[in-house]
Parts: sequence; structure tokens; C-alpha cells
Amino acid sequence: MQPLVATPQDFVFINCPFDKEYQKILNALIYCVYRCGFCPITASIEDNALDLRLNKIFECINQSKYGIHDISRIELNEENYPRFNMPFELGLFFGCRKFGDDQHKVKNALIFEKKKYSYLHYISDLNGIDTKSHGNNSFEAIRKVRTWLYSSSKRSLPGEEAIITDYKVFLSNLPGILKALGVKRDNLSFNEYCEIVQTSILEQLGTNKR
Amino acid sequence: MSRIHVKSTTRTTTIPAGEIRSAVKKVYSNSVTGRFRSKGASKSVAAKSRMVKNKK
Repeated sequence: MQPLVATPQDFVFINCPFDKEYQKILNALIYCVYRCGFCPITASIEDNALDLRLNKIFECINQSKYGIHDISRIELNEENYPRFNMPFELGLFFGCRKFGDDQHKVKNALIFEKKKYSYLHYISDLNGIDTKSHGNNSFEAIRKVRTWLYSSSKRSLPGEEAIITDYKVFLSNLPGILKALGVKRDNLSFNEYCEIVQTSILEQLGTNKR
Repeated sequence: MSRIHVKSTTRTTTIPAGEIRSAVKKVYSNSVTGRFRSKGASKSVAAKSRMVKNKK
């Protein structure tokens, strides 16, 4: 079985931290997006040093109908600066929907934060926006993403617990896959992890006949 | 449930896609869960009962 080529209706822009502490949640988000028949993208999809990062972000937002924005990690770093990349990219996504052409008017977003409505303390302009919290739990993140993708796309999707069961199978097989490839998880790029996830899901679907 | 199609886009990777495919295939075909699912869990009740009858 071969994957189908994703269209803008399938792309989910993932706007989140890309550090080690967030890796568990990000891995679960990527798996869930693929397992629901969508395709995750981030600004790190193209490895071209000549492209400005901001241009890559513009391109990702332009391409994607859907966006997952995690603003749960805006805490101060060691030098006491807050992490503003995620709220900034969320603002770009909003702006694109507001001022873009017809294809952008249908953009849909899922916003994660640490505690529901805590954003009112630091981005009060978002007042009235419904956010979700995953409580730093990857299975909860899968449930929230699946529910959101279902309600926003109206597509028929696998149940959340079925996705979690398949994800656990994937997690149990991942060390063997990495060993066979001779790589460590920490050294895998976003793209390589995505390739492993989509190939694993194809393998699971091929044997499950679901 | 309708079948979900995996959607993909062109991605730059340092590991060839063929190597990833063979590694995944090898691990899934050897995993206990993979074997269980491919041989039993996905079959319908009717198919399972046919298997039992055939064994008898």
C-alpha cells in the first residue's frame, strides 16, 4: 500500500516547542495526525539554509487548512526571556484566515495551553477563543487532536482509543526500528520521524485490514 | 469504519525511504502484536469460525 499525496485540505501545521521536554507530546501529535489521514508539517520540513525560517513558516501556514498551536510553554528561559515563537505563529495563522483569500477563510485551529483560559493573562486579545489542555499527557493530546480533527473535518476517523492502542504498538516497535536503521531517536530529524511513522501506520493498516 | 488513507508529502531525509520501509517491515513482522493482529485480531467472527471448522 502506498501513501496518497497530501493536499492543502490534509496538511496540519504543527506550531509547538521542538525541544526534548516536548518530544513525547510532539511524537503523539505526529502519530495521531497521520493515523487520522492528515499530514503534519512544520517549518523544519525543508532543510535549506538559504530559506529564511519566517518564509518557511509563511509557506507552511499558506499550505495548511489546519493548525495545532501549543502555547502551553511560554515560560521564561534561563536568561529570563519568554518563548514567543508559538504565540507569534498562532497570530500569523489567525491573520492568514482573516485577510487571506477564500481557501484561507476555512482555516481551523486547535490551541493547547497548560491550563484552560490562562492565556487571558498574557494574550487577552484572544478572549472568547476556546482552548484545550493536554496536561502534558501524550494520550490526552491524541484524544484532543482526534476529536478536533473529527469535528472540524467531518471525516470518518478511527476512534481515539483505537488510535492510542495502535500508538502503543508503534512505541513498542520503535526501538527495534531505530536499531535496525542504526540511529538514535535524539538524532532523528522531524522528517525522518515522520517517514517512520507513516511507514509504520501503512504496515499496521496493511496487516489489520481496517 | 471507512478506511483511512495515509497522506504524505515530499520530505528531505538522510535515510533512504527504502531502508525505512525494510526496517519497519522487519520489526512489525517479528513483533508479537504484529503477528497476533495479522493472523487473528483483524479477522471477522465468520472468518474465525471458518478457521475453527477447517481445523476440526
